[in-house]
Amino acid sequence: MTPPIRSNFRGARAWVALPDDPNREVLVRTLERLGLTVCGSGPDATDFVAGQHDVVFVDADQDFMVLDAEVPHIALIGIEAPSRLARVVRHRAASVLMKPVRATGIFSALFLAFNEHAIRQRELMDRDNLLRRAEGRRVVVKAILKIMKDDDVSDDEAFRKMRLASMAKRISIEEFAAEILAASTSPMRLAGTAAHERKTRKP
Amino acid sequence: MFSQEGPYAAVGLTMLRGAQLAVSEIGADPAYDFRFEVHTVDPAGRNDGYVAGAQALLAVPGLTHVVGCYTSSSRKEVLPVFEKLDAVLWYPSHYEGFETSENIVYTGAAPNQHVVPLTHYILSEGGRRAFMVGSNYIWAWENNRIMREILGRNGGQVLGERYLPVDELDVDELVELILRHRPDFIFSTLIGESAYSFIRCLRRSCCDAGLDQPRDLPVLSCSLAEFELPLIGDACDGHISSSVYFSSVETEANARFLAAWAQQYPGAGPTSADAEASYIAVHMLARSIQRAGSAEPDAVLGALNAVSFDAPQGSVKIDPDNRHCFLWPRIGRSRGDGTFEILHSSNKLVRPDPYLVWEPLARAALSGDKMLRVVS
Repeated sequence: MTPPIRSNFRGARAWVALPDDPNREVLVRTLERLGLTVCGSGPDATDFVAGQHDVVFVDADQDFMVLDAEVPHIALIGIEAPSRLARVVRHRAASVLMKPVRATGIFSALFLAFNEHAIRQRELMDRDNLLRRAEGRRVVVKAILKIMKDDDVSDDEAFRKMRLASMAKRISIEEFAAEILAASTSPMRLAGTAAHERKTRKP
Repeated sequence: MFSQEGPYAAVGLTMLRGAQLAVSEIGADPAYDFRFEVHTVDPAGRNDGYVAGAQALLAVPGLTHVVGCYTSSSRKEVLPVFEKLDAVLWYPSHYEGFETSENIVYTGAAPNQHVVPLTHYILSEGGRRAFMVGSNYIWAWENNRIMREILGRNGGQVLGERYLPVDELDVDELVELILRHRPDFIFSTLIGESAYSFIRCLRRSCCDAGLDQPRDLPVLSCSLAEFELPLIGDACDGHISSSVYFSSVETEANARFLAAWAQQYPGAGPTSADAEASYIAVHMLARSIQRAGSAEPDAVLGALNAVSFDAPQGSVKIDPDNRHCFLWPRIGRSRGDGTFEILHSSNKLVRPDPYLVWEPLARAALSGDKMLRVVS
């Protein structure tokens, strides 16, 4: 599922790591019109504090850094030389603005940056989930085998039990499988949950 | 720079007349120590005509202000010419917003002054289920998006959305589809002949089906104006329009405007919102020049915050921040005599919000609308 599209940036906090020049002037004026609050001094960004801003503007013509990986970066491009552009790609700027900066284009750059970044964040989360599940596969298989043996049930039944028990504990099935294997002498928790399940089941 | 030929010649001509009326008034007003020298071009509704027209006008020595354009595509097309030559375009039409150029002053309504009040109006009247029809370009797309979002936040829904090519006259199937859906209202962003054909066909089909079209399937728009009503014919009454100006506005300034219009253009038909926006643009330009003591673009733009104008719609001023106008939104219903009955008027001057930054993101506050209460 893709995140909802955001088109209003009121209240968003922008850090503008650009020198005092007409580009910065046009950019700041337009951002304020769009309801953002703007801070940030020169391109060195020595006083930048991560976690305090929602979007960062950087100068791609300089040796810019990613200031906060959690927020989208918008790169201002003046020199279209491959060495500069490669930096924009490597740092994964979420969108770009061409210099000289005009009022036209700033809303598009913000719109792209926020929404593209949200999609990237969602994909990152999905990827982490998949990785976690892939890594846990061996543990889950081992736990299923153990329950099949201990409780003398089929693989489907073993998986069902484990899924219900992990849901009741509000932990992932992989974490639950790891717990069963750690308590390798006897799956107390699973037995307990199964007993509870039996008790509440209607006759 | 108005098109007096081409697909929207009728509105181009009425805008030109509004601008020229203001030029005459300024010429006759001893308060001004300058006169306007008017140069005109007719882009004939073609975007390349606008670019060539803007270049030709700005090549005239000392000419730095142009009043003109109607469609958004023409405005976007000429903007680079104005930026390059450091000139100012005074754009006198309602449009879909999402622009604030440093080289444009916008005197028509922004979306928070047309589609937003229209949507709040229909919600307050109990309208929830919409069917959207439009001419296939940015004006329709963006207005539909805005209305859809507001409806969605307020328990409304969009039953269908259809676009026709500009100038499409074959609307029978579309009308049939709408009659099958039976929405609470139709939001039309059709323009020109398409809009007139649609309204005529809808009225006819409703009559055949025993429906009272204005009551059972009202048509709402943000552009229907006085000069279009005779072009629709018998079916011209009962349609809802959101506009900052109607010829029936009762202000002293409008009485003067109507009289001056009738005198300068006998037989030219009624005034309309686009004519008034062009009239405002020229008066605002004159006041800014007078205030700045110079016609230099920077000086004129710098003086915008200090000028206001007692316009036919009410006193208006420019927000120097985004160069759009503070205006007076109204809702009108067309009558058979070619005018609009004003159903609702804003009780305050509405600040322009071209990017809808300040439009409430949560549930819209409607007058008379009960808020949800926690009852647990």
